[in-house]
Amino acid sequence: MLPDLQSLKRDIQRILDRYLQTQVHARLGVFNESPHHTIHEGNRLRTIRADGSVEDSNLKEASAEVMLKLDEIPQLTIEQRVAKINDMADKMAQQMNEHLFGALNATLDKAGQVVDQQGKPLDVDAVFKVLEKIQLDFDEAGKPDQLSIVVHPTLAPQAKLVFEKIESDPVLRERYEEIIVRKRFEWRDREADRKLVG
Amino acid sequence: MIEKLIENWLDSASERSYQAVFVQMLSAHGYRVVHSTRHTALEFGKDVLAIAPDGKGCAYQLKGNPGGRLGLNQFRQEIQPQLVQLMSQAVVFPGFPNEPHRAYLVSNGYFEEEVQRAVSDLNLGPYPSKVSLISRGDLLAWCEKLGTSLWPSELGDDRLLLELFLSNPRDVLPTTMLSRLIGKLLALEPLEAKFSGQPEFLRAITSAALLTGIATSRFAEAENHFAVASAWVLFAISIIAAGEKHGFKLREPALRTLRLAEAATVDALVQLWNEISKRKHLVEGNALADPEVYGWRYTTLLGLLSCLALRDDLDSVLTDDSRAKLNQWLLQRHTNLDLWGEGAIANLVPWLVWLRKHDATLRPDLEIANLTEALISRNQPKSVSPLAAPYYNFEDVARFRMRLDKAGEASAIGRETFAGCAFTAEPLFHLLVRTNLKQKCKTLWPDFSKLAHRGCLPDSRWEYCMLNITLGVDQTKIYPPTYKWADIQAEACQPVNDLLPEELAIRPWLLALWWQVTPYRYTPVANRVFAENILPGWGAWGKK
Repeated sequence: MLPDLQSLKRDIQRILDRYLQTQVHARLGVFNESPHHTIHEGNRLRTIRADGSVEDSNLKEASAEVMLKLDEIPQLTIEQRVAKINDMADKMAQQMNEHLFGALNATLDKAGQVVDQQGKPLDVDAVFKVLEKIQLDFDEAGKPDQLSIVVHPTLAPQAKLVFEKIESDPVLRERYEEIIVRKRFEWRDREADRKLVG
Repeated sequence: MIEKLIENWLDSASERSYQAVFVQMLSAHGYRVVHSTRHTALEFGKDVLAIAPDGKGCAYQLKGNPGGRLGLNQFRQEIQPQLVQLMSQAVVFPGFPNEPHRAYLVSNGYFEEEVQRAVSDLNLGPYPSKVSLISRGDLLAWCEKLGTSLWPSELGDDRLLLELFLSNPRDVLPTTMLSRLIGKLLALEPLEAKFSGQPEFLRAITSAALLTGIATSRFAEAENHFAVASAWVLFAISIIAAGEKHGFKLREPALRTLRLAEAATVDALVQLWNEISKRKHLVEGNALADPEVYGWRYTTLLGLLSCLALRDDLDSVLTDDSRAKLNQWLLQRHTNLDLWGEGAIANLVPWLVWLRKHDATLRPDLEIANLTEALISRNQPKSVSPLAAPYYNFEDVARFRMRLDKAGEASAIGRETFAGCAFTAEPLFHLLVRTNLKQKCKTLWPDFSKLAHRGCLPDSRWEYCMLNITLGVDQTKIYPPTYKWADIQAEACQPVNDLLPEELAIRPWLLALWWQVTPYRYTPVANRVFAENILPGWGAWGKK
């Protein structure tokens, strides 16, 4: 073989792997803000929810390839390699997002937590229906905790209009506040119910 | 390479580090070892007592002559007087035949010709027992015959074996390396590996016993008792796993090997306690850097010594004086504990249960309540200082805290969220329920029910005995906000064991030691099995 520095290269590879991982996470959007748990052992997952329902799922693979031409390698700059890794991160994050949203949709469908507009454009009523359906937690200041609204990029302009309308129209604003107040009471009741009885 | 390694081991070992392997070789030859400890020496230099397959008693005096020869001068001055007593006086020991025994002088070096002649002359004397010599050549031949030929010899495994043998003997044991090697021999890895029958299984067990003793001999030589105990625990647990996986009920001689591994573990723990009881402090090594690890060491020692005390409760292994001192040490107030991660919970639980057994006051219950409260509050969803999952050891946590990641390796700790979930809160809460401090349980419940309770459940029981479960489910459990006291009480005390091999379930002290090696195996079911074995019926009296 030709002279090589395998130990050094292994460490460089680890740094590149770490960069890839960071980039993939950065592309996961709202999912990147959720807690990250490592599956240290085992080959599948199970969630037992508070209502006693059990959901089993399997691990999913996300992968991407990078092609390097051998004659390019001597001149390959770090920027060029980073671009290739970013490309891999795009592909992997896309697969992961598809799976995560797919799993989320399936779970929400099963739980009856879906608001179907049946082809109609996103409107104020749809947003209120969604807010009615979700369970909200509140922080110490009484504000909704960890509430994120995610829309498909094509829906973004319409969503912006809808939220501006809610913000500016006093009647809609009052309706929104009324839902939030109700949700806060529900949350208080829920927390007050956290008890060991008997 | 393996032959060279064995020779190197024999040429560098003192009797301290080859005794554990020697008794395993005797056992494999059909001998029943009735005494083999380094911590309570018998009179006249008898290190090992065994009963031969023909029923004859055998007494062995072990000498370490690493790489050398036992000459006449050393023999006359140090050994002959003891040997004469060994040959002339009856061995009085429970279970040892009350008739003239066979005496053996064992050395890992060579006996010079003059020594052999002197021994022959002694045998012509009027002593009831005769002495035989076992030397380096015999030990090498036994090693070969008993299974070093079975040791994994693929290039990668050779390297692993060498790395383990040469690893820093003053550090913690590289358990992953030892586990992989034992796993290959006992057909635990790969998953589908099988034995053709019981004889092959038994040979593999002996071979793995030799590997465990030899590969970790430098740790024994350095008197690194924690590492030695960890090695024999890993081996003992692996025998149980192999029996369970391959469907072989553990009976003689496999059971004999398991008992010897347990004895070697106990021996290491007793030596550890002997050292601690003589020390005025628990500082070790470089003092300037020790404050960072002192709390971990203290907590680890509390776990190990509690396991020893639990074993001693079942089957006296300590002298009365030593037991009294150990009990006193365990009963004192411990102010140097470090709750460095969930891994520390597995150190503290054996102590808490031991304390509950030995202290009739309310203190053990309050200690359990305090620890449970600390864990639950530290891991609340928005906690800024949650305890790391028990899959991370102290070194991982400390390196992350001090930004001392190994070259090129960013710690996985930084990529995982610990707030909002816990692996050990559920079993610990179950212990609290057993104390019947109902009001405390009610106070903690709101925060307890906010946690996601995680754990890995293996598909097969034998995988509970592995460092890593391949086929199993990573489970996350959310408790309902409102729960009945009677229901949590039933969960905490139910005697169902659907997780552990029965051979492990009946050895609670070994189970607790397994948690010292793999803190993530401290699960609700294992906790119940342990508590029920140590304190049968604890907490069940208040059940409605």
